[in-house]
Amino acid sequence: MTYRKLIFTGPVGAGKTTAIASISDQPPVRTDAAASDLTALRKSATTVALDYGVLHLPDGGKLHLYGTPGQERFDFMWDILTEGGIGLILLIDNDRADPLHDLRRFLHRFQSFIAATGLALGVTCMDLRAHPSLESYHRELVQLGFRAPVLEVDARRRTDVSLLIQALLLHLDPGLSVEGGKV
Amino acid sequence: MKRAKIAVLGASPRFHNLLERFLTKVCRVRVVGAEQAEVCIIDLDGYGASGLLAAERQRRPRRPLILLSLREVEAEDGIWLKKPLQSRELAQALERILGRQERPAPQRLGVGDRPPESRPVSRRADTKADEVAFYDPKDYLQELLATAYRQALTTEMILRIDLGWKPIVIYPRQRLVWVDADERKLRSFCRLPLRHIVRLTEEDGLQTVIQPDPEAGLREPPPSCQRMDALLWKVAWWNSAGRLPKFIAPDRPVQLKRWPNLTRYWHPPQALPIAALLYRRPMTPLATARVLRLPVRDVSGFVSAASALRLLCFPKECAVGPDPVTESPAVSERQGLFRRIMRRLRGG
Repeated sequence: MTYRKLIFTGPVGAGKTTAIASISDQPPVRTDAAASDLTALRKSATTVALDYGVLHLPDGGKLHLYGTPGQERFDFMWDILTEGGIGLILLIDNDRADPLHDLRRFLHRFQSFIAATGLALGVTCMDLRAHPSLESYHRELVQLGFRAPVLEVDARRRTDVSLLIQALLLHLDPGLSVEGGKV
Repeated sequence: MKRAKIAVLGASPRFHNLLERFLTKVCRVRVVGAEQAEVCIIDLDGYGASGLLAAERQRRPRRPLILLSLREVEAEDGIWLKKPLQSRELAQALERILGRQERPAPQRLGVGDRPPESRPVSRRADTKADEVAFYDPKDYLQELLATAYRQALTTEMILRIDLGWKPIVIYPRQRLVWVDADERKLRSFCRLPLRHIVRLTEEDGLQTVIQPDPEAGLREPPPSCQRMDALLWKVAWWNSAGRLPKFIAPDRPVQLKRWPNLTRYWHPPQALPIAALLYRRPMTPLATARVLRLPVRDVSGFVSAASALRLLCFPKECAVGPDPVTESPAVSERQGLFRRIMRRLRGG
């Protein structure tokens, strides 16, 4: 059932674990460990293997929600987790030192997965720092050859995370909203 | 200048006089006898009013009605307004009715004719160009708001818009704006062209002005402030009332430069697929409505709001290529999955 898998990624502290917890139908499985490096300055524990949540679908099926670890030293997990995914939710923390650099780094790292599926970008912590603007993120995406929905997100709010996922699905297939199938 | 003819029936002499004054002075219509009228306003709380209504329905079944009463009434063939009567509601009801009566003009409109915004909007998901309605954003709050935003951002001064309605205060440094009205009042206000508001306040000597508000600068912005972009987005959507801005042709392609920030903007559910489609490829408003099987008015509202935030570009040609969704079995399977996820996310 790897087919029904949605991947959440982004740098440390961007809100991946929180976003999965917001949308998951059951308490998410976390693989936290006490942060021992610079991550400790941002939060006490960080994901080392994966986060896992699930969304129960109307037909009895499940959409598995996987969050990657944010730290690059665990990036061997990224390829494993993305296998069979239907799309990528990239969360970028606007309050980090250089969020556009974070964006470039993750786009580069997930380039082939995005090309095969699709991307939606959620920018978190915009209430703490308004710049870069969503327009700047979009400009950066286009310069790097990507087109994707870019939305402001509070990972704690289910409606925000839900809208971001809907934006991803509709970006992949705008005809989804039309009842009865194809447009 | 041709003015619409309105009859007022069933009202007491005092109420009749009051209505007549409002209708002629503010709504710029003529109050005439029942035989000549194009629209009838009936006060259902007046003596013998139910008989008046029955007679009116029998004699002129197609004449539009505005029914005034303290209690709710079934008004399938007209518009019911609850008493005590609000002047804005009456003006809006008249505007809606007169707009519905007007037919698309085959030639350029003259000065005395009704403006193009009065052309009718179809209620079904039609995609015919001649059934699309238009409006001029300059007649509505959205343009005034956009102008005030530009001034505030350029001068970096806190500005206040006085309309003779509720004050609007713009805090450019925080990119916030404060409106002393709840969503319902604001939405209702957005239905009226500004000239109606100015007329309503002429007697008090009020004028629409944008001016610095140094006093507001002494305080923090109120907690109920809204974001500037979010307010302009919804005001433009509501000003549109299902019409396209007059400078956007329904059969010319438009495209979104980027997605609107829909997690922070008011929007109906159909905004998401419209955004996805118009971001993906240039498409005319008519084609967008047809492809998504939506009423044109839904697309018009979106296009108006996106245009107000300068999120639209106007490519010369529509993109050539396959439809947004192909028909392969793999796509169908994927679509089924995506649709179930969407249903789940929207359902709770």
